[in-house]
Amino acid sequence: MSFKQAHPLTRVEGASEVIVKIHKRKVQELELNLPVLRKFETLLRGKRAHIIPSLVTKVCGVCPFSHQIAASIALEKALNVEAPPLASSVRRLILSLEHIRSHSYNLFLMGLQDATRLLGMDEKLLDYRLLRSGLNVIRFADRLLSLIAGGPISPGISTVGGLLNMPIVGSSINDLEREVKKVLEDMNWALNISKNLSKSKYYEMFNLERTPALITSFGRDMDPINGTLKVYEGTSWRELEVLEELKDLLTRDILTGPLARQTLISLHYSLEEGLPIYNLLNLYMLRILEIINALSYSMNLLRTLKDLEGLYRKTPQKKSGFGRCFVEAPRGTLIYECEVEEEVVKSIKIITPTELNLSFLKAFSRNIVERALEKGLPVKEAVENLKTAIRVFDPCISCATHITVVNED
Amino acid sequence: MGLKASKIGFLQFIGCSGCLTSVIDSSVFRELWNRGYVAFFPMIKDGGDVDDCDVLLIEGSALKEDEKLLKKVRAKARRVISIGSCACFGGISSNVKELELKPIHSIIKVDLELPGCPPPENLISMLLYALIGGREFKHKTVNVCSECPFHPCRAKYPIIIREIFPKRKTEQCLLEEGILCLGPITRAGCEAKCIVQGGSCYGCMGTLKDNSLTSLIDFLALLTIPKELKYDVIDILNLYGKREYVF
Repeated sequence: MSFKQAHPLTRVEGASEVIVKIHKRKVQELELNLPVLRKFETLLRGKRAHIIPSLVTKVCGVCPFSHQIAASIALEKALNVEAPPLASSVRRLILSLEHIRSHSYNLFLMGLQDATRLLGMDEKLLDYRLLRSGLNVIRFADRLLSLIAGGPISPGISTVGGLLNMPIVGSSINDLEREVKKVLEDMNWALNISKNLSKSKYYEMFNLERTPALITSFGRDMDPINGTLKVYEGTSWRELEVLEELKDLLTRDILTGPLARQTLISLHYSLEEGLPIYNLLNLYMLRILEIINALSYSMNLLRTLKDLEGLYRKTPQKKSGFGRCFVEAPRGTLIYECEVEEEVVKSIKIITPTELNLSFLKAFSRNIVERALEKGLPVKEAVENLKTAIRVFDPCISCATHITVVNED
Repeated sequence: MGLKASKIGFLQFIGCSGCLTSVIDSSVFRELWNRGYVAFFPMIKDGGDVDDCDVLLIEGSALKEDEKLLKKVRAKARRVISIGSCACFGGISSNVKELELKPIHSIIKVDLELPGCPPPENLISMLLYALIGGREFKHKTVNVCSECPFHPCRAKYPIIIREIFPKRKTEQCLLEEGILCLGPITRAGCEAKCIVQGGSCYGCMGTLKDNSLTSLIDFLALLTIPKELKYDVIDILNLYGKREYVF
């Protein structure tokens, strides 16, 4: 007898349980459950502050260093120490490489496989090319992360006060520069696929009927690590003075990540209406642009780092205090807050981009099924559209199961 | 092991996806994919069936509720391999008491365990090559110290532990400096990456000897741990969920 996981929600990191209840072609219920939260905060309470950055890499295997850098900076604020400029540059470089790696997973190995269905492309050919290109780009980022941070997932070098170790770039940069051209070819190919998504018969179903509020900590100088938290609600960017304001926003539709970052940049460069993103599928294009930007940024920074020497770590001045930090992780703004007493963590709070996006993801998911059913699509296709939409959001769900459809028709 | 595997499945339970992304990052993965060895990999592939697998690699620890699914999967797959410290020991989240996360071998029979957080890329490649070639995968029989650039340790016994994490860069054995390092009782294979980068070894690769408690007692006998660091040291010993260490 054959065994199959019931309607698995495939091609996401971890997985979630989505229950869609449809009655007489109307969505009765759509639940997105995260069955097991790994409760990392509980684990970190009571630990020595200096050990925290090495532990938080275990929160996520796709963006471990975003967590490490965010924890390091929050603790630095609590202990009144500022990382030397050299350490901050290395952190920016690591984050930028992590953007390449994480976005490549989402694009090549998870999301863009949907082009088979959306564009009627040859499944085998597309899968083959996606994997080939994806692995090219991912391996490029991996090699650089191994050089700078000791590996693509761990151990990382960011710590309280700066870096544990100063990476030696040396002559390896010449080999890497040769590889960039190949990586850009792969990105160009992916860009063409993502552009073609607008020709899909399903494209309009992914239109954004209302623009969600956008959240980012990206600075105007595109600094991913020293920003303040900002919200855009259709008119202008407003800084959130206190984090409590975020609680109110969490009950509404908000979106963090590439769209928020690129809107901020485009408005800064006086594009009147920001980026013309009215369709969720265009998020793939934004991720591709972010990869290309990150490639150029990383290579420039590497060339500078090659000749730099100097202080890369400072000693904290205090043993107790409160610190908060916003870091632009690949999926959006990552928030860390911590309270330290005599070098021991009394409390710590982590708000991930997926948590910020969750309310809008749920609302949009329901909407996408409803639209498909209204257009007369079979339930199966409506559910496929739902899965596609979830992948476009690029959720990082650390725990797992399946998508279950209860169809009462 | 013995039998050649022509279909390999990959499944994730409660983990961070780091072990499975390490599999994808490994040098052998593209070849496995292109030659049709990958039967089942929900993280990046639709469809597939556990029935098709000669070997099933599992990432992540499991809850009691997962028992039914794990048993079903075990009955279908000819061999099961746990990859990563969560699947092998329960992992870092198994320290969260209310979750009760368990290693896979405590629920179903596991044929081989490859620990690490995540397991090193070269070991993953060696394992996958061994599986498709029908060869036995052999664990290293030496400790992390054998791969450490600061070996040998010239510390005088007993070693007084002053810190559990290096606060400054060191160019000598961490234990020599009074910094806790589990390298001596941890299986090699990681090239002492954490130490090379300025951190310390917390034993994600698992213990060297079969009897981990004996090796732990031997190791602890060499150390003097001040009262104020006692609980920190216990935390580190249990970090990846080596339950047998709890005393």
